[in-house]
Amino acid sequence: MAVPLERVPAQMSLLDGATDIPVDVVVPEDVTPAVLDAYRHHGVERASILLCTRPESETLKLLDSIAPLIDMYR
Amino acid sequence: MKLGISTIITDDGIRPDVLAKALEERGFDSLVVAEHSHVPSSRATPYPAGGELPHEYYRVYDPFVAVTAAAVATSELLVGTGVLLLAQRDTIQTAKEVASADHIADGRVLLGLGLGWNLEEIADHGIDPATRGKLLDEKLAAMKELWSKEEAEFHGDYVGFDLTFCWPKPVQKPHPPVFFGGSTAAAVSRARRHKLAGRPWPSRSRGFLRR
Repeated sequence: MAVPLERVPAQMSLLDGATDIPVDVVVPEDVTPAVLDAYRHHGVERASILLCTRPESETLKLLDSIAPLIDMYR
Repeated sequence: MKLGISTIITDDGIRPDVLAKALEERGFDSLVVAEHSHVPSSRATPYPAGGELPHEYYRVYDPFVAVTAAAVATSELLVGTGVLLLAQRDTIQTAKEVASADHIADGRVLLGLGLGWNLEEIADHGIDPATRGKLLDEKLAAMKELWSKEEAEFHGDYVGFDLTFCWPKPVQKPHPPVFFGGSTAAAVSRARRHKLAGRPWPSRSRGFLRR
């Protein structure tokens, strides 16, 4: 289930102006670029993709599908 | 913005060294692994995401064994915990594990800390779950002393030791980056109080944490 884009501002409002600490956020495997854009807009330094535990072959296949996002947000 | 991976490493999933190497090869920034020391059979505390506790929670590797395996398989990837349940851990032993891992990783360790949600798991370590916030604060303060002082001592309400040597010290000075995981304003407040990083989790709706 994708992260509802409209919930990003509410989640980030937890920070309540805490610009003095770097922020990471955990996102699901099927995170969309729109959601990552929203987090980047809020100054998030790192998005950690929450990877479900799977056997090696399935995991590597999934990583290959996610990896193109890295260049988009480098 | 950097992209990393947060996961639960188990005995029946991908090995931590294989995963770490694959992440580095693909350009990911980091790998952080979860901690649960055990799963009390009572299952009295509901799984925060709802529904049954996922299979992998029953089979979690020791986080520092996983981190060490990931570290030796890579040279650039940041490796660490996300999150370590510090309140239920021994302070001195954990300080040594973090510092040792940071040495093996040549200064690439990230330390994510959290309070933990499974109250029975915490209680089995002899900890009153109601005190875990104060315990985490105090244990982190004590670890900072152990990491930064030639001889350290600490005397708090819950943690106390007289002057002691505790080596190795972390490669990263004064210590590896510390993050607090949490989905509440209190977690952010704790990060600010310690002048550390925050790591807001997604809202805890089923399907959000699990695919």
